[in-house]
Amino acid sequence: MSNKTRIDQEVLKILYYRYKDYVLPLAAFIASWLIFLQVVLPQIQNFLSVKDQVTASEQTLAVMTQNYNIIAAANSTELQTFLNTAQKALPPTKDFAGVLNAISTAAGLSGVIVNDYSFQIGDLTNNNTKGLSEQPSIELNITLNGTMDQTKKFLNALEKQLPLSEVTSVDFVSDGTAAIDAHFFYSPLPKINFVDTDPIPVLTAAEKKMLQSFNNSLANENSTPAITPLPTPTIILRVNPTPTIPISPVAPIGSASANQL
Amino acid sequence: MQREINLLPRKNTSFLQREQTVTFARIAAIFSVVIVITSFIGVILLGRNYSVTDVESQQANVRSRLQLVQNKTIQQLTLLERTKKIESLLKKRISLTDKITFFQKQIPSNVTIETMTVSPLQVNISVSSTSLTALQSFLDSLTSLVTQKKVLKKLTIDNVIVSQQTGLYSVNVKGTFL
Repeated sequence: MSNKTRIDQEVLKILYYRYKDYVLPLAAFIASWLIFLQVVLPQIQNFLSVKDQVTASEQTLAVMTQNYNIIAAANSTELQTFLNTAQKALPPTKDFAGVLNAISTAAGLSGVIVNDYSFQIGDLTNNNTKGLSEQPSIELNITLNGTMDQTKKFLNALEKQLPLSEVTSVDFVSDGTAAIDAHFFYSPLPKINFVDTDPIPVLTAAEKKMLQSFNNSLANENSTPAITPLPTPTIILRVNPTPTIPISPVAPIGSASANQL
Repeated sequence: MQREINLLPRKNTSFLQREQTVTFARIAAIFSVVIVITSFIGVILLGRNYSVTDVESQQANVRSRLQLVQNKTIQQLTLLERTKKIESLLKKRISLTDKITFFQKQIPSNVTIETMTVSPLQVNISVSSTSLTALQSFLDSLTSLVTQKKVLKKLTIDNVIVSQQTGLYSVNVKGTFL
């Protein structure tokens, strides 16, 4: 007896007639799941990726819209005023006129007499002059005539003047003179790159208050002119060779010194 | 022993089982087809709600509006940059006025300050008096600042000078701030 099973047309016919009730449902079942795997599943995956993309784009759009709203709502006049004040507080370049004005005003407010002062300008072509706070600054040595209390008043007044400064040493002598080392800060403006998808921060209330107080001190300064005329400064350059150039008087210092050098 | 075999009940059972299986297969097939069609339509309908192109066109619109206020934006960013730097400077800045006032208060009334040099790190004071007790009181007050670890961490008395002509005692002290 042969064990071989022969599958021919007759056998298939028999099998078909025997199982024909199952064939159609089975074919439909297999076909539908094949379609699901081949067509519907990729569409679902595509849909999910598009959904993620749209969500991300909507978030970016929200940031952009918020940026636009912030800028559109900002008061142009106030913005310009604050910017001017901030640039006076921390100028982008060495503001000699501002420095002299600050000394003159502080002297006027405190009642001291400015005897002598000298700038340690540093290299005018280089912005790497560092103050104590790792911040570019103009170093200034001032000699004052006044009592200790007047000197303290001068220091207090100088602290409130613009450009911002830091007194790094006070040498007080009982004969009524004081030698002061001060650093007047400046900071070159960095290149501003605006990426519209990055949120624009807004000034906090404390920052606005600070700028407003600077504004007020500037307004006071303008309303009460400095009463102490300053003597001729000595400018000391930290470049080779190191010249000591006396120049006069206050107003042309920024331009004259730069031109001479 | 019963030799007759009743085949009818088993035949019926087999027939019923086949009917059940066919019914199950049909239900499964219909269920599968319904699921596939429903999910296909569902995905198409949901996909209509999410259009990247729409969002991109809105972005382009906002971007063009931002371009119109570009100068104002740069001003705002510059202002923020300056303000942050100013804030950082003000935080780091040390006021020497308070330190001078503090040391002024330590000096007794019959002691005179000859010189006082104050920097953020140290103070150097030269004082004179006709009274050694007054100078002692001044030195005690400074020493207590070191022992109590207030204001000063180190105190050095550089020299004590007595002037026979004027009768003045002079002391020079150097203190290092905490």
